[in-house]
Parts: sequence; C-alpha cells; structure tokens
Amino acid sequence: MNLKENMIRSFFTENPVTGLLLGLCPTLATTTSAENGLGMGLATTFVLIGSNVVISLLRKQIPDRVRIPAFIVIIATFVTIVDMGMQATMYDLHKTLGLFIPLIVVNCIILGRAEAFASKNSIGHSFLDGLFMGLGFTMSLFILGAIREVLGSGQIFGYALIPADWPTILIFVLAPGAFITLGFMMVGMNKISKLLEGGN
Amino acid sequence: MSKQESDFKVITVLVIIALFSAVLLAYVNTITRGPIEGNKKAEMKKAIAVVLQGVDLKNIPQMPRQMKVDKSIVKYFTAESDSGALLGVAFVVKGPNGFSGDFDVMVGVDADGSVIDTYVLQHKETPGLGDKMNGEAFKSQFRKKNLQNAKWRVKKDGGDIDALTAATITSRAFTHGVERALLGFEKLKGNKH
Amino acid sequence: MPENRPVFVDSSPLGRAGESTRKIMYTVSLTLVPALGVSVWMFGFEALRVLLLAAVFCVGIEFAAFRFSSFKIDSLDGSALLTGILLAMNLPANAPWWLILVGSLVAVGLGKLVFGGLGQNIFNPALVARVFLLISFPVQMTSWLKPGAVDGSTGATPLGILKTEGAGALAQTDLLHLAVGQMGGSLGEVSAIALLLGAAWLFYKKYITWEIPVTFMGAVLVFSGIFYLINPAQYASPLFHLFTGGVMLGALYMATDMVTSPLTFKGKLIFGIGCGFFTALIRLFGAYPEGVSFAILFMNAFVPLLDRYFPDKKFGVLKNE
Repeated sequence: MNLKENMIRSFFTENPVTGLLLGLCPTLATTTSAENGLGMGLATTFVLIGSNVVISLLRKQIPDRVRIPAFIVIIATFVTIVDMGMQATMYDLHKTLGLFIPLIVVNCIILGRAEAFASKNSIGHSFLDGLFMGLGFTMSLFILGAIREVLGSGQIFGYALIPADWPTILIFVLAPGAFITLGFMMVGMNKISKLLEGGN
Repeated sequence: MSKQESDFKVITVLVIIALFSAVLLAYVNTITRGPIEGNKKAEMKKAIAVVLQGVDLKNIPQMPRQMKVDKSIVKYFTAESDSGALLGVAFVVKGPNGFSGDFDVMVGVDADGSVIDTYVLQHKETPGLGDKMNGEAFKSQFRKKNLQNAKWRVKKDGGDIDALTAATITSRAFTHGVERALLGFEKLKGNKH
Repeated sequence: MPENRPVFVDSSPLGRAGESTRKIMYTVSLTLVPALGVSVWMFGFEALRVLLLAAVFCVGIEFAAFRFSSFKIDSLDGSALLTGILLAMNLPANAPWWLILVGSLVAVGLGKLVFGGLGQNIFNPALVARVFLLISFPVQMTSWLKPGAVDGSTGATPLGILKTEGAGALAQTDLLHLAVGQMGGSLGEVSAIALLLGAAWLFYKKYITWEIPVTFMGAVLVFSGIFYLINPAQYASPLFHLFTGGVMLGALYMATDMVTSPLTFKGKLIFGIGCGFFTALIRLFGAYPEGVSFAILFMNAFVPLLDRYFPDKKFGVLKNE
C-alpha cells in the first residue's frame, strides 16, 4: 500500500467531510470555532483509530452474522472512554461539544471504515487508515471552524482579530452559515482533488 | 457469504466483547470519576466567587439548598461567618421565557439584599444579541440594586433596567430572574427572623 | 417593397413580441419609483443614499464577475439593477455602507451567480440577501429610522412593537397612516398605496398576474383574521397585518419574480397561499416580528415541485394517454 497515495486519498479525494459527505451532523453542529472543530475532530480520530485497531485484531474471530453489533459495541466503548476522559481533563470543551461526543457512536465514518477497511486489513494498515481518515476529518472540521470563527465572531482560537464593537457576520456561527461555508469548502476541495489527480 | 458459524460461537464472541468492554469502561470510570466531580464543583465555585465578590466564602456549603419563589424552584448557597451571621447568598435562578426558552443565572446578594453581581450559567439565547447579557455593559447596571431602590422592569415596561439593543425579551427574562433572586432573599430573611 | 428577413423562432414558451428581459427588468424598476418616492419623502436623503449604493454595488459586482470569470453575464440587462433596488427596499434607511455592500455581494453572488446566473437561481436574490443580513446583523437590521425624523432617531416597526409589547401598544395607530407609509420600516415596507400604484402598471402590462398577489394577501388576511376573531385583545387586526411590514412589497414584487415563482395556474395559487400562511404563522407565533421574507424563500424551494405536480391542462392531450 502506497502511503503517500493513501494520505492524499484521506485528506482530499476521499476526505470524510468534503469528499464522502459522511458525519455531517457533528460537522455542521460543532464547528462554531476552530477550537471546537479541532476538539471534535481529534475525539473522533481517537475513536476511529481505537475501533479500527480492535476490529482489525478481532476480524477473524467476529462472526459475519453479528459483525455490526460487535462493531457498535467496540465503537461505543471507545466513545464512552473519550466522553469520560474529556470530562475529566477538558471540562469546558466537553461542555460546548456536549451531546455531540456521545453521538460519535453513530458517526457513519467510523462504522464505514470498520466495515470497509478494518474488517479486511491488517492491524498496521487499519491503524494508519484510522489515523489518516481521522486527521482528514479533523482538518475539514478545523478549517470549517476557523472560517466560521473568523467571519462569525471576529476571532481565531478566542484571540480577537477586530475591535469588540465591530459587528461580525453572525450568520456564520449559526446553522445556515455552516452550510454556506461547507458548500464553498467543497468547491475548493474538489478543485484541489482534481489538481492532485492530475486533471484540471 | 462464508460458512454459517454455530450459534454457540456467535453468542460467545458477542458476550466476550461486551464483557471486555464493560470491564474496560468500569476501570476508566473509576479513574475519571474524581476529576469530573471536581470539575463540576469548580465551575460552581468559580461562579460563586464572581457573584459573591468580596464576601468571605469560607463556610460556603458544597450542595445548594432549594426553595420556591413564584412557583419556580430556586437553588441557593448561603455564605455565613463563623458565628453564623448571613454574609451573602448566591442564588441559581431561571430567567423565565427568554428568546429561546429559560436560562440559568446565578445572582449574588449581599447581607443587605442588594445585588453584588450576576453570572449566566447556561443559555441558548441568540449569539451576538441575547448573549450580551453576560457582558459588562449590561451586568454592571444590576450591581448595588435592590428591591427598594429600583423598579425591576426594563425601561420599555416602565422600569429602571436598560434593555440590550434588539434583545428586549432576553433582558426582560434576565431582569425577572434577578428579581426572583431578590424575592428569594426576602423570603430567606423572613424565615430567619 | 417588403424586405426578406429571416425569422428566428426561440424555444417555447414564446413571449410576446418586443418583450425582452431587459425591457421587463427596466419597466419593473420604473414602477417602483412611486414607492421609492414615498421613502425619500419619509426618510429624506438617507433613503436615496441607500438606494444608489445598493444599485451601484449590485451592478458593479455583477460586472466584475463578468470581467473576471468565464460566466456569460449581461450585467446591464437590468436584473442586477432590479435586485439592487429591491435589496434597498428591504434595508433600513440608516443602513451603513458596508451593510449594503455585504448585502449586494450576497444577493448577486450567493443568490444568483452560484446557481449559474439569471434564470437559474432558485431563491429570490434580494430576499436571500435580506435574510442573510437580518440573521447576521440583527442590531443594524432592526433599528429603523423613524419617518420624518431629522435627528436620526430610531424606533421599532409597528410589527416589532406588536411582537415585543403586544397588541395593546398599537391601539392609537391609524390604519390610514400605515397605508400611506408613515411608519418605521425598510424603504419598501412603508407605503402600501404607492406599491399598489406601481404594481397596477405591471398588471396592465401583464408582467404579473393576479394569482400570487391575491392569494398571498388573501391568505394573510384569512389566517390573521381567524386569530383576531378568537382574541382581538391579543392579536392585531388583519388589515394591520396587510398594511405593515413587507406583505405588499412581497406579494406584488418579490413573490411574483418570474424566475422563482411557479409557471402553472394551480402552482401559483398554492404558492401564494403558502406564502401568506407562513407569513401569518411567523408573525403570530414566530420569534421574528416579520415573516414575509422567510415565507417567500421557503415557498421558493417548492417551486420546482409545484410546477411538476400541478401542471396546466395541456390542450390536445387525451386524458388516458
């Protein structure tokens, strides 16, 4: 397996958010700031790596008939660990991400990678797949969150870019702004993907 | 499709996975339970420290007590001196009927029944409009006000409170919430004497 | 001796001779002059400033998009100008220049060009911009200049007062004042009568048909009337709802936009009723005092469905075919 090709695939052409359009619910709901996007992305990455490795490890033991319940139990375990871990160490971030941490369980990208990749490939490859896919997801969420924070709150990582009494484009911290930003991001990512694939 | 596994194997594998996951989670829970509790208390403490600024918080209780003020449950922490004199009370009240439902405000009241400061615990008000109720410009007008020296209505309704621009409903709910805390204080004092 | 000229036939639907996009757009723009006149009378020079800025920005942005992209756009076909005028009519007279610039960018860029230009857009561009601005800059978009106020003092619209203070606060308002336009509001909201005057010419020229405006206003009257009959102390009268806010502007100029409204008879009826129903629903029970723009945008999304499921009767087609 070609590492570089794999990375390009996870980050651009098959990026979970802008390429595959998976896991859009947490993507749109949590990316009100760069920090939130990054936090959500990394939490998902952790779950993705964990579930990919364990599922790959057990891929010969898990009977085909009950593979989905088995995958879900494994994924849910990792999500609960993240949930409790974040409450213990990053309480404020956990409070803003709130409900969306437990909801990582039903994020399509995780079950999707388990089913499409980890259950068929070796542990090492599954680990890398989880890492790259997770980081691709994180990158999208981070960019989305950063754009929305700059336009909607006039800040980046909570650092003010404009005087406090200047109006900001509030729509970008609200739901419609998430859709608008995602739309334009997809245009850009598709363009980059095409360039990387050698087209124009 | 590969061969059908026996029912026994299917059940065993699932049970083992579930058992393993349960043990793991129980272990993680024992590690994280302490810090999580600590974080929750620290947040409440932080809010209390803001709203009861300048009050001796040595004897603040860990858990709040409850009472009812105009049919709404109000939680409160009392700060008392070593001799048992009331120094101040931090009330957790609901701002009723905000723009997007109720929100929780902590209001600190000193021994004379005047507001020390306010702190919004959680809310769903519009970013950029209603959430300015946590801003200094809005909060400062409540300080040192009590039931006697102010009319607890926004100016539009004939009271003394300057409403936030384009967020009259939020301001109204906030004002009502603070008034509840003050009414709660009256009630508390009435019980003591 | 008659010349031999080739005759070009465009694809259907065939318009009347002499009607081009350009002519329609400029005519519609001209019919807005009475309403704009009233706003200038009410708000003075400020109204004129907003109008000019919006028109210049919209046409300029479309022209720039034409220069720097591969789009084929006729930036002077009048559609950008009309979008600019309609945008201005949706803004308060004290709108700062940057608000108008952002609005124009959204109207022309997000409302029209991303879909592929005039004729491809699903939503009314001016309304897309209005809603974008309303959500983004609620402070600037809800402090309206008081009519005739030279000191620049601002106040709420009658609908805003209704929302925050209830129907009781409006007891003294005179319906005639509202109809003429003596109230706070955006440039195009103020005068119902001037808008009707301009629209009369459009009816005469058959640029707009009766279905949408009549069903729109009818639905607003009926739904707000039902609640007025139930409890007149809490709900404002249906006529108040008709003459305030954007109902006139929306029903006559926004909902009837050729690109974003249904083509078929039944489709138009349902479209109009839907706009009126949602306008009344948002005004009576929603968080925002005004619901016209949201209602029209919402119904815009249904236009392809309406056209498809409520087709006009085709002549010469057997029923069972």
